[in-house]
Amino acid sequence: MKDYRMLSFLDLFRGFFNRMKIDYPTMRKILQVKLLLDSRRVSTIQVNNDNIKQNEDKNYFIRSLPVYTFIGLFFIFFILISDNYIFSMSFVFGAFMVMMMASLISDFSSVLLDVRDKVIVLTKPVDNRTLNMAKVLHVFYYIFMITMAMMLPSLITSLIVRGIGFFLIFLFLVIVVDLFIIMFTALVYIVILKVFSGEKLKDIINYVQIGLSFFIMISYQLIGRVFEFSEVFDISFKPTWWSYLLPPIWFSSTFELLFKNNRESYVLIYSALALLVPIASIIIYIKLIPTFERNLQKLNEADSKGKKKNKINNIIGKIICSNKEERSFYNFATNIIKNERNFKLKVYPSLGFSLIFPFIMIITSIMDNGIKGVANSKLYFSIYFTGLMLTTIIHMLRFSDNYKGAWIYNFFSVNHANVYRGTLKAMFINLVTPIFILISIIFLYLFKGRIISDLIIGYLSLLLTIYVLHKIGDKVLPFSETYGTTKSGNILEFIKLLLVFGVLIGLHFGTTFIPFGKYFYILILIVLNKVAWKYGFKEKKVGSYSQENVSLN
Amino acid sequence: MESIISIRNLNKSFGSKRVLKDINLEINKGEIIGYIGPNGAGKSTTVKIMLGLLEEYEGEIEIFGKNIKDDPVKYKKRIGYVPETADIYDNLTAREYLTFIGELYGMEYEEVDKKAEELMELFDIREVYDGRINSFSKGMKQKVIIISSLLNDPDILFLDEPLSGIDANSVMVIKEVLSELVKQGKTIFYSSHIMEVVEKLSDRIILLADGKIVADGSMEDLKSQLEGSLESIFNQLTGFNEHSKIAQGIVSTIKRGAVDEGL
Repeated sequence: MKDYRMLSFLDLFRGFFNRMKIDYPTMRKILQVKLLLDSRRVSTIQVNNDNIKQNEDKNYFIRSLPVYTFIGLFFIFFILISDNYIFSMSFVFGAFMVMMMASLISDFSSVLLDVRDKVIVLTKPVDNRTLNMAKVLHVFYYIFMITMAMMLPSLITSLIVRGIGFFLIFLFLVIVVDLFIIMFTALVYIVILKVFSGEKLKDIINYVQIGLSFFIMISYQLIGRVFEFSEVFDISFKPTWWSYLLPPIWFSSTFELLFKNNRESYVLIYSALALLVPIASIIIYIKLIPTFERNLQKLNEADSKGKKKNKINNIIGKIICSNKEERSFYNFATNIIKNERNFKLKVYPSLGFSLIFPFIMIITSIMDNGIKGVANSKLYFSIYFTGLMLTTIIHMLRFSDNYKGAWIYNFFSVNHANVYRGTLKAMFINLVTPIFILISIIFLYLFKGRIISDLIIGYLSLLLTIYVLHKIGDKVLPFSETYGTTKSGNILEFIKLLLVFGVLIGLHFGTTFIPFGKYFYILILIVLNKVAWKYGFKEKKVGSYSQENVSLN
Repeated sequence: MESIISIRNLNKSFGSKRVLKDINLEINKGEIIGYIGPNGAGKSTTVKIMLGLLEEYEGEIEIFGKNIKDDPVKYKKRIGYVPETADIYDNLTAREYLTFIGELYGMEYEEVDKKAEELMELFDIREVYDGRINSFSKGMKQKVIIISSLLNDPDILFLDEPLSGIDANSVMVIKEVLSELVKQGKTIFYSSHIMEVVEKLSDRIILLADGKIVADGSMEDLKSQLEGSLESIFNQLTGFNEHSKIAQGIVSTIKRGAVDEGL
């Protein structure tokens, strides 16, 4: 079996793991198998019949890393902007932590909350602690790779501009932050698992994910508020009680303490927190592992009470799906979207972000201009930000734990157009629409009734965007692939989305200058949607997923 | 006789639903236990608790004379398990999977590898030892799972529907193997819905219904109280006598309407 470099690196810490009562050789073994499994994602229906695909997952992950490096380039700006380390490094750590938390809760929650291993591993002489540590390190491996990719530009900059000491402390703190956020997320899950149970628990987990997305975005907004910009280059830091709750400020203070000899009491307290809180979180976490694993089982406990049949959704299905086959897939997709735990674990955090993105600019503006100032602005265009997560969600639709069930598509030789139509509509109604309605209600309160037509335009534009993204993206039958541990970087898809939005927002904005332009535009959008959704799914017969390509391996 | 598993006053609930009600069991070394009961009676739950997969329960369980809560790890070294749902990392090859499992049992790689390969040979699937498990047929996969449960030369084997998908020839081999293992003093805990196999194989049958033990004894014991095959005893004890009525209902429900006749 392949020996991974990470494992040889881990061997250095062998003594540490032994002291924590972890069976190191066993943990290493489990980790090795996990990494091997990650490199072998397969799908039931293989696109283009290529056999290379079996080993592609790892490459997918490696290929997504430059995207993070690209994002990391922007951090350089923060490092160079000021000699006030609390100020500059707070932004670096803030942005970094937001990115990592987002990735952690959406991509890696399912690894932390995995219960499938239990039957295979825990029936062997392996204890909870060892299995759990393997899981955490599995997550850490990916988080670490992403971190290094993202922080590479700023680390190099700090080495050149601030010297080797600064660089080493920076590197060290970045790793501490990684550990801290993993422990923090895991601790949140421990509490949830402890407090709730049964069907309620499964729902709560997803709301917690949305809550966490909210939490990290809001905390990030707060960082900027800690500082006062009296003049352009004169930045002063004002500690307030809540600034003690912002981890990025703790970490940035360490630089102020070590390299500026700043001995203000608040700097000392922050720096102490930067070291003590992560250590405490690790200790608490290790203490709580047995509770964690025990309560994880709750996620698997069958609740025999069936959920009530969703009548409203059936009615909506009847209205928006023109034929029977499409309606079947609408209902089918609705059920999977609403019930499959892994799907929800990976998609709900994105929903959290699409719920909060529209408000980021508005909140800043309210703080500067007050509610009145906002009411007269055109900031309601930020409703389009709701759609920023569409690429991710559409991409996730292809995955399922029960991907082998995809044989039904070919057995019943269904029309693929109906499958896509039904599934995308189900996604639009069940995931996008509730969020859109919620935001609309708040927007109507902020901007008053004058924006109703704009909201309608926004809604219709999102629907059209979904169609366009499907049309120009690669088409994979829904729920027909296994989840990889990592998400492939779909930056290209994201750029496509931005282009589509650019055009739609431009048109929308243009119509606001023409009398009755918006109403004509609504009509045009309705017609476009009608035509696109009705006729636009026809496929050429030479589809890449014709029947011959179906294989189980 | 030497008691190897001892369960006292075992109770387990999921939420408000009680799935095991005061189970008491003494199992002796060298017994083959047929553990049977209708779906949802609590068979798998009992096994999962004994294997430490479910940790919250009331009552005491001793395996090899020690309470499993005191040392939840060590006793598993001497246990083999074939789970009901064929849980397996099926993106691994059989070699990778089996050596992994062997190493979890604390064996050396070379030792497991050799043993696993020989067992694959004996089970007539040597040629796929380096193939991915997800390309295997159901029976081949099941054989791999059975091999994985035997690698550590366990003293107690928990088998949950172990023969599903396996061809008749191999079934004969496996049954023979089980009888042989018992002769060597191993204990086997066998759950299945296939009554003929249970009847032939087990020297003691435990019937669970609705979370309670409703019968416990050898086939002769059961026959002295009730008539017929194990299947009919099973039906009598679980209070089931409507099979022909239900079957008729099903058949008449399946029947197509006149509209579809042309298809």
